[in-house]
Amino acid sequence: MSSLGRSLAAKWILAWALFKNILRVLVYGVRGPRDWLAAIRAESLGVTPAGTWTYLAATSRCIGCGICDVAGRPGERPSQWIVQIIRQPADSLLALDKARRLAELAPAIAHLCPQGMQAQYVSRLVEDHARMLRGE
Amino acid sequence: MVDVLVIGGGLAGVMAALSAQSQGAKVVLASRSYGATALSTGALDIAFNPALSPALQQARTLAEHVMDLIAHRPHHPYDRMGLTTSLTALRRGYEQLLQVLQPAGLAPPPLDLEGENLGLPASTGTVIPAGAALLPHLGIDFNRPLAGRWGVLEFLGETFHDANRLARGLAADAQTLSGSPAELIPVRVALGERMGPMGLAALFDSPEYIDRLASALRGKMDGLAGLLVPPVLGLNDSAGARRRLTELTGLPIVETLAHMPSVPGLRLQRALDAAVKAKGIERCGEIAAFRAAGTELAAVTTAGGRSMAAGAYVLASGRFVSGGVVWDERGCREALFDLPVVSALGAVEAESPLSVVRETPVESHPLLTAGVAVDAQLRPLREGRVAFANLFAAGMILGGFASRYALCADGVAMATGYQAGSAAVATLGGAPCLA
Amino acid sequence: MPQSTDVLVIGGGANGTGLARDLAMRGLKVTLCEKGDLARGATGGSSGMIHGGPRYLLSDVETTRHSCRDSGYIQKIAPHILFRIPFITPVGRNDEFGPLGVLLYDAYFDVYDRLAVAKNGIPHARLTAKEMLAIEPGLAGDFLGGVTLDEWGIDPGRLCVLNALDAARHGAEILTYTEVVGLTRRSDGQVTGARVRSAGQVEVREISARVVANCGGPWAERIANLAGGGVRLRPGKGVHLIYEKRLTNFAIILKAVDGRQMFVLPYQNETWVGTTDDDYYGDLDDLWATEDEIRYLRQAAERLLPALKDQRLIGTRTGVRNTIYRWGKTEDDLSRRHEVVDHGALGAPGLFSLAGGKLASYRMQAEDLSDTICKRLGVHEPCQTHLRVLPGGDALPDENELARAYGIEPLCARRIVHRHGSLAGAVLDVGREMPTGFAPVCSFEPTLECEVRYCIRNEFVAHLGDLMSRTRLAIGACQGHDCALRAAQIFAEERGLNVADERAELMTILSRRWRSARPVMTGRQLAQTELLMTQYTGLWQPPAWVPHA
Repeated sequence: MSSLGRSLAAKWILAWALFKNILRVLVYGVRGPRDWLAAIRAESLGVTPAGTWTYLAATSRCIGCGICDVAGRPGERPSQWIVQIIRQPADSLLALDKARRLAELAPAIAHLCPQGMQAQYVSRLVEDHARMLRGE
Repeated sequence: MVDVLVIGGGLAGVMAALSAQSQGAKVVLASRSYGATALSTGALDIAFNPALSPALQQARTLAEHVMDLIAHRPHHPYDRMGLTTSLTALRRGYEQLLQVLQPAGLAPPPLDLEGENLGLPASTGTVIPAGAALLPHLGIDFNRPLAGRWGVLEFLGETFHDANRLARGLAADAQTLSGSPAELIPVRVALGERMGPMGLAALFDSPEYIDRLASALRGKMDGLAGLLVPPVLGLNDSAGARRRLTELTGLPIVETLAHMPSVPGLRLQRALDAAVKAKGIERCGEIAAFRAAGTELAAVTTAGGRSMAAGAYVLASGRFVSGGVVWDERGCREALFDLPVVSALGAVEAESPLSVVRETPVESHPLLTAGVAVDAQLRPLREGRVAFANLFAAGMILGGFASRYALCADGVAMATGYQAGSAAVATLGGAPCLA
Repeated sequence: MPQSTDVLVIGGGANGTGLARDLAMRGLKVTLCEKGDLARGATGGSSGMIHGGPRYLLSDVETTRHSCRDSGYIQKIAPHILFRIPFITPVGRNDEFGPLGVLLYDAYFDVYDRLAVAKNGIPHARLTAKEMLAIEPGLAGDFLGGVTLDEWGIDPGRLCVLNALDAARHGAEILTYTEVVGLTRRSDGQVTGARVRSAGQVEVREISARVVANCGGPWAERIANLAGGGVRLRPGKGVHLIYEKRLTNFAIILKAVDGRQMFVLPYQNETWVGTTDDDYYGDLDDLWATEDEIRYLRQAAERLLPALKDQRLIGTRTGVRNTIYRWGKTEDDLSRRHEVVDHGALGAPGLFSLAGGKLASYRMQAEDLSDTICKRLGVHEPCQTHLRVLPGGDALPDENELARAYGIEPLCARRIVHRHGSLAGAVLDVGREMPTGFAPVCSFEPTLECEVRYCIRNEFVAHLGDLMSRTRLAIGACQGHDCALRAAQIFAEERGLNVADERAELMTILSRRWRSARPVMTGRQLAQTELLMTQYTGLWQPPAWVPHA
């Protein structure tokens, strides 16, 4: 089939779909996002929690110098947790204990960090995601 | 009423504060958080111009390296101050630093500008030139043939001090520098769980942990002339920890220079903080705003809203790591007073980093030398004129050099810190207000 | 290096490794030559998705159908390296369709849904403006509503490695850092093999082959010219911006200032903004993101997500598409179809080229070329690449069990399962060989030492920089500040390197990261670079340093 032919066929299929869509909406109403959101939540994917953007920039200041390790107990590595525990939303459920500890260490970390890292927001990001995934 | 307000609590800032105070001024030190000083390796870089062949590098004294930097780097702080002032300020600043380091047991021997750079082992597995270093890192010089076999200590399970790689890397560099082979033997002990450098340093503050190390070393030190250890022997009492280990093992113990996370950098920063406290210098938090009155700075305001008026000010807020110089949506500039920056090659007016950063990491990048331009009195300039008659600058915030292209960061910090503090006092009209 | 082979495959991207696997599975002796590392060209610079190509529905339903079906196959053969990415497409009040926009998009994706069943797509949903903001609160603009959809993200580096591993398992020889510098031909024009040179060496060797398959991607034209031409490309440069973390949980489709479609994409633990598409006439081996491209992307993304302005840019990804030449069309309008070229019709029988195409259809493209080659060589085995799983794809071990069994964090186990699937146990077994075996090398990912060693031993790692695309080491904001040093030490130990070579290998990681980070070296990333320089003092030219200005 020529390129023009393919293009016309595609547009025909779309036009037909448009017609069916209008009919369906008239009969059944609009299908909202509830099912779709439930389907992705089942795969540990979800929305961006409200308020995230207000503090997100403050969680990205780490340059990996490692000074903040001195704020923790011997063996604790907050410098690693800070960059590690915020990944996919699904990972938040595995990182809650570290998030809690980071929140406790946050004031000390802010005092030490050359870039002014606000570790309490890292904790908040993890906790917000965990809550979102649990449906709270 | 404050005479001199110093902005920045790293090496340069503390040098300026101590210098001003020793000349009778009432000083306040404003600082936000730790910076590049707390990340330093333990070396004290005075002056090292790499633009020479290896043989010549070794034969030149520190004073000659300062002269080289002045001759070849027109914007370098040593060039701004001139040779005589630079050398004098270096000596005085260094003396000041010794006083800071003595109580912590970190003080090296006095500065000898007629001496040469040492070749010190770094935990990255290479020999780095340094003019001096904190005491735990002294005791070996790879510029000279190594006498005897030295051990390189590794804690099993820890990844930051791999004895095998260190031994081979240091031996290779030693061969190049001294012309003769160095015998370095890995020595491995198991101490328990993986702690990381900071964790280990905290544990080694206690004598029991040193004892554990010493007994783990028993039988592994035969035939060794000394031991190169990871730079983690104690955080608050490194002198005591090292002394104890030396007694128990009967061997000279030398710490390698650290990479990050850096315990030696923390030790230096804590010693500086302790000295500031011991001298009764008042501290306050981050400076967020300022108010000018004609050609002078009238007052500054902290982030917490407290306003302070001083007779003179010293800006020692560091470069990019410490946040003294930034590149944000308004371009590359000094962060607090919005002063323009210069690099080793002139004004930095780039719209894009592509023009001031070169294509491969190994080259020297003009952007990394960005900082404020100053006159011979270390006063920052704006469009060729002094920005504020009572504002001085010291340390990494000065443009025209980078710590890694000419190993001189600590020398610059000490010399310009001392000098800026003195100049600030000299600028005060009338008698300074005594504390 | 082999002297003779049945098929010499040139190029180690998705096409090349996919073809090598296909041919090897059908019993042919295959040698693959790639002048750099696997997935270093168009594949490595791709958008990291095997999407169904919804936009081709407007002009060519078959392309979309094939893409969706092939995405489905890739899911079956490599479930472990895929991850679902949910999308939203906001429809603005002032967009091209005006008030009808949401209705039209809804109908459009009704069609796409049916095709996307093949790739396990979730039927889309229609959104009001309010529902959209509830999903992504950072959106700014005057919206009528939007639609949701989902696509599959893939790790292109892992894809190529897995294809290559499977090919090797069936007897193929995979030669990275081996460049084809010429084709050998008989007097009658028949292509009989190639002359190759290993990187860094002077000696040129010959490999004779019954068939030579040119899968050189953007370089395919140059390779075809070694035998008189026959492939004409319009290379299209594409740039992505990389932000430090996953900023939004949804991918968002948006329009740039010139109306081009763009996206903000959460990709594993980063956010990508892309992409551009510009005719590229420059050096394919020296790609840099330009200031224009960066501003273009930022302008579009920040218009839709204003808070992006404050976020931290850590790097750029730059690649070139191997689009087939066509005069008179804009870059976006060029067809993404592929072509199999038989150079026999052009006087060079024995040479075949694969031109054009896209990542999502790599398997199908490789099958097409493989069928052609097998017919030529009289091999009648059918293609099985859509039926047999790639290494590790047969089962997904439980991350909690692995964490318990090996004493590591579940988060680390999860990453290893994602990259290695059922082979995760073999990876973790390496960790029991040394006391540092489970220590993290890269904090950001996190990547453990056992995985680094496993990849060095088993996954065609010739240089340290190759680890970046296999383990996501040094991918993060730190630019290798922490991990490159340790990785170099491990590599030197595994390979018995001397000190000078170890330091040179360290540079392969730092240089690669530099290429990505230099165009955006402002803000926090500038502070990061200053720190990096301090860390590596003396390591690149110790102890005598090169003079400079």
